[in-house]
Amino acid sequence: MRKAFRYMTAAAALAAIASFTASAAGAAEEVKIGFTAALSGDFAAYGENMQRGLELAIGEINAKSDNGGITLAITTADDRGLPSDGVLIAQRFCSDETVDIVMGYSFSSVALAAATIINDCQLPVLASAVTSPDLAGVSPYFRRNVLTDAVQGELAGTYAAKVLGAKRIAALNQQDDYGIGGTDAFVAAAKAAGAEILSREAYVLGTKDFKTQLTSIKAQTPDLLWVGGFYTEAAKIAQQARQIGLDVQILGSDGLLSPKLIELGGASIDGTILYGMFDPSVAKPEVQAFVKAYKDKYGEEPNAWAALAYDAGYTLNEAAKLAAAKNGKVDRVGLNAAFAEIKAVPGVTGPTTFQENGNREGTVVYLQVKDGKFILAPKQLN
Amino acid sequence: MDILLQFFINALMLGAIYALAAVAYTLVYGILEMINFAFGELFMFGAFLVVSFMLPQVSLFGVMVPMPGLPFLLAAPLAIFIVAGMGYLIERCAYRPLRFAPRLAPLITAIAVSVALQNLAQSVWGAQELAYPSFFLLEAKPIQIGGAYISMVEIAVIVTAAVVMTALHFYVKKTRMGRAMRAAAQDVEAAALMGIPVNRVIAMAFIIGSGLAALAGIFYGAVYLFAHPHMGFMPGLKAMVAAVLGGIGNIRGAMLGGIVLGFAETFGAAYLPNGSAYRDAIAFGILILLLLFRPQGLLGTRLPNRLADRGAMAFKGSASAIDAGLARLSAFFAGRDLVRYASWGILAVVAVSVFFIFPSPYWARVFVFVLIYALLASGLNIVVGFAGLLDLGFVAFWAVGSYFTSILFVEVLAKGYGVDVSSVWWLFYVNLLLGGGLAALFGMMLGYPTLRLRGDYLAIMTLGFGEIIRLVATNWVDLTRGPMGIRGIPVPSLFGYKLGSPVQLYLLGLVLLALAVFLIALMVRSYLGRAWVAIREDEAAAEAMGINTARYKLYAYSAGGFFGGVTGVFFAHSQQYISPLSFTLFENILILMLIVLGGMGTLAGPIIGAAIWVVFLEVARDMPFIQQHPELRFMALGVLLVVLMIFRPQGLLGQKRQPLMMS
Amino acid sequence: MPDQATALPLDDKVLLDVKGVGRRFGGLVALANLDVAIRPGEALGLIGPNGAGKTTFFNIIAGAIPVSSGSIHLDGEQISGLSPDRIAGKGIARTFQNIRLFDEMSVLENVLIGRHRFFRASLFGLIFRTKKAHAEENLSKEVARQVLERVGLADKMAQPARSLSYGDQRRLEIARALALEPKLLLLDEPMAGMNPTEKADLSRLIVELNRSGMTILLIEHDMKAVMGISKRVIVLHHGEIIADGSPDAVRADRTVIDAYLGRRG
Repeated sequence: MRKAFRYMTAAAALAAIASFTASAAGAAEEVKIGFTAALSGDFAAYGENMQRGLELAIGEINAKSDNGGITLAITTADDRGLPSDGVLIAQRFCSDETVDIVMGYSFSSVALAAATIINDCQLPVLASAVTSPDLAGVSPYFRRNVLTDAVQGELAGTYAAKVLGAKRIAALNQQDDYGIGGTDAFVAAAKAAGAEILSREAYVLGTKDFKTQLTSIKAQTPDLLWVGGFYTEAAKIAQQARQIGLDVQILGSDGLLSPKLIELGGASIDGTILYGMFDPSVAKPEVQAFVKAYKDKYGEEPNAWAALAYDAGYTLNEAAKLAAAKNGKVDRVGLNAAFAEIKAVPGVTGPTTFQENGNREGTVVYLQVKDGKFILAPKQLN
Repeated sequence: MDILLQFFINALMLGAIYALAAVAYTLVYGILEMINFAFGELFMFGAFLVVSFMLPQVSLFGVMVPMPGLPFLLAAPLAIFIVAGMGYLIERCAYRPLRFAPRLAPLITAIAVSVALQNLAQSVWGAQELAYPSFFLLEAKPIQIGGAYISMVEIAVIVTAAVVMTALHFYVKKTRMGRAMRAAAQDVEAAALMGIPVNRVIAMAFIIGSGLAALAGIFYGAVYLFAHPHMGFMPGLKAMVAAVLGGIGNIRGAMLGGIVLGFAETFGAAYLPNGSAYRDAIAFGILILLLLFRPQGLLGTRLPNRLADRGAMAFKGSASAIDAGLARLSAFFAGRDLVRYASWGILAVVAVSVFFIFPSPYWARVFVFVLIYALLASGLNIVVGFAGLLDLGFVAFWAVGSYFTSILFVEVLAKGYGVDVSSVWWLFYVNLLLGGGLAALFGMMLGYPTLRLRGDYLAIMTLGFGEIIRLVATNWVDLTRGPMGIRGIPVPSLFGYKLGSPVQLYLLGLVLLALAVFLIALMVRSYLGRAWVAIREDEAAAEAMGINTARYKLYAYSAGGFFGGVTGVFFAHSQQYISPLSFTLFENILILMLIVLGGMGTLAGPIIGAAIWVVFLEVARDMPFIQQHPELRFMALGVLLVVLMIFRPQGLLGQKRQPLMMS
Repeated sequence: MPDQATALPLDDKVLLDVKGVGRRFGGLVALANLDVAIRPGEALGLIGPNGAGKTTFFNIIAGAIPVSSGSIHLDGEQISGLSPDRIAGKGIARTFQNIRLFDEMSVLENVLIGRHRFFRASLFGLIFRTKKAHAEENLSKEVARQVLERVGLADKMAQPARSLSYGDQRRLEIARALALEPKLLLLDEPMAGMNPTEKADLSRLIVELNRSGMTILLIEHDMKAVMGISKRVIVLHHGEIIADGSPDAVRADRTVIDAYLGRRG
């Protein structure tokens, strides 16, 4: 039975490889990724974006002829956004000796639930969407290529008060670790920089109706509205603000960075400022190539989730090559050591370097929605 | 003033949408006394279809398909027409075969249909939100009244809702079919005797109801500018609440209920402390208050769920090909004592599992989950299987147990007093009892207001309770750390020896499950269990035989709650981290389905159901098909349940009754 | 020979005392100001045409429907206004016009439900299976077996109730009611739908029960069936008592013939 299970896993993996690469033959070392994220349920979209970004990177890497004998394979497990499924999946990847690294995670709580198990079996993790500060240093095997919400929020708060000159700020945050953590830091930094926080309200991810809050906010006459959340809700906030005649500058967190923001927000989203580590409009060739390849493959433009997962794929490739060069093979411990050594791996979200606590070094760029496109915001934080 | 006016407009628009969908629920309920949970999903299909028809091309199953790009005024009627057809088909295929089945059967089937449709929509349209294409109503400038704004879409929603509901009112009052509907709503059997074509009337109620749900969904999408596979779930629940609020079965009541709910939500979110985070709880809070003080609803005159002649879930054997095959399987078990049979069930699970567990921590972990779900299902089975009361808020007990022990260990002892938690290892075992006891207390609290209610009402009420507990866990950040969850919960240990490995947890869980089944067996095989089953089989007769039905229902809730709480404590310590994400309505539905799968009202059923389902979920992950479309695992569950309800409602192993006497 | 109805008042003890009981449904008067006294050991027949209010009267005694006016006393204790389970606990047991058994439970378990009011064991007692808990369970099982023997179902104890024949289901309902050890047994058309042999059997059973001291109130549609059982018959018509006396006297009563027998042609 156990063999049968192994066999099925292998078959699935083979199928996955076959669909991504034409020239995997003669691979000396296969690095297997255990990918986990919420792929069903209310919030499957974010997980799906990551999966697509990562699969695109794997396809490109496996198509290379000179990759030091490294090929990447992937096996996928849907965690439904449930911590309990996260535990189960962590154990699954730990027990499956062919899995060399875990990637994905759409929610910090799932990663937190899995952390102890993954630590025990010394399985490296490279997460790309979880921002909770609780995850910093949670295990020597845990890394992420996204900035923590605390860092992001602090940068954004300073930017709002100092660069945009906001004096009266109303804040809305998504009621989860991401929204609360980021907004806590945002509020503190904005206050420190001299802005007044008029109100702060939370909403649950998946909320559709914001008119009530926005009507109250309108009466407070803010000059800036902070949205610490995801693009799905931000688009509705912008739409509904316009519907009730609230005309205010919106500043959003990196959860807004998705072409879907523009698609869902329509004309109302124009002028919104947000930040992120990935600027889809930038003329850098690798970014353009990524955007084009993604569009060709999936028929839509990539968002921040996809971009970070895509970069995570390349970062893994660098670490794997380094580990293979050093040890002649890629195993969990070797791979983990390599992650600590690699520096400034180029990517569409900028260079990736990890700190000792597993956080990524880096900063954000500020973007603005203009005529249905993201452009670099005219003012940046220096 | 401007603010109030704006709130008023927002509330009216939201209320109009709820009212439209509420009428759908009420129409079907009036005749069949059944809550068609699937209306929420038909609502969603309405929005998706209209968006698809209006766009030049849409990605279906991941493939770009050219679309006609119809104007809204053509696309909307077409979508409504198709959804009405879907409603008819669902009624014809899934509900009609169960017309004379016990009342839990169609309700569970409706939930299963709803789960299947949700996941089907995700496979078809993908997990992303689809943007609503712009059309003339959206492009028009909003009207400004003082400082308040009202958009053309909102006007259209309010006006259309008013027109449609007036039309419906006259349809029901004046036409032949309408009169037939009212007659059927009074008394289906009498109507049938009077020569009213009941099947056609019911089909018509589903067609109209589905059309209304689709219309509500189309508007909901147009106001919030999106379509999403899960968009119908919460509005569906709210509409159901609105229907109950107005007095279920009463069309004018449903309209009123919708509007009241729209206002309560808008003004509650605006003026209650932290109101916007709790806005979904407002609807359920009102529902609970209403059911406490005026269970017939605002405009209702009769108490629904008058003591029905048919029992809650006593299934008469049904003959079919599938059944014949399964009957052979269960013939093997026939004539045997079910307690022994349950121990066999556990033994079988153990025997099979040892082959996996010791070699692989992963399979040990999987079986820890089998045990957790088996424990939960066994607890819920007391309420649903033995006492015949549907409970959609059972996860709340699980949450209460989990949070109780986690807050005590981590927030109070470790963080508050700086206690080294490993020195109080024994507290875990005390907490198993205390957590269970606390949850049992909650069970009493939940049970009390529901005593006068039966069946479907109870289902909604418990659902509301479960959602409120989850929302409190999410939003009362100071107590529960909210969505961040509580981590650092110590693993169980014995005299300082940690029982943290999957195999150790498995063994500990096994002990707990064995104890739980033993305790449940002792309760069931006494006058207590007999009273529960008597209430399930015929509440009025049970009362006439001297059973205080209210008290025994409370006992059932508390006993079920106790095991839910105990499981919660074990769950929290076994995974060392909890967050509100674990305690969703969907999990509750899942647990319910495990019981149905294994066999309600048996001791082994929940265990077998849990083992089959959890193992299936894990094995299914490796299927290439599922790797591409993970949501299909749950669609499979929904479809399986519908088939099971129709062909083998007593579950896989439910052929033999549970003896209810001491031996 | 003196009429039984007049003979009984010599013993002026009354078991069930119904005083001025009325019941309205909206504007409709279902029962108007009924006065009925049932004496211990009596087998009282209650007849009347369809819709006369017989079952309503039963439901009111059993507490399933509250009274609109008047009061009911059992052994001098007021029972009107109590819930059905409390009334059952006071010693009134009933059967139903349309059989209402617990289908999925065995014959023996059905009868044990009738014993419900005798169980005292606490949860602790149940879980630890104390001697007391065992004793009361065993006692009730013994009583249940005796009752089943009495109604002739002893050989079918382990079967599920739904598998019984129609006549046996009627018997089981009576057995379940007897297990409650009632002071008063309410039988609602126990012979409806039976064939003549079954009817005769059941008739004999009811007479035996009455002989052994059981007080019985029997609704029967068909006066002939009542004749063999009851010495006193009450006729209900449009919610009012139009006759009360021996079967012969009632049968000869003009009003009864007009209202009931006459109508039945």
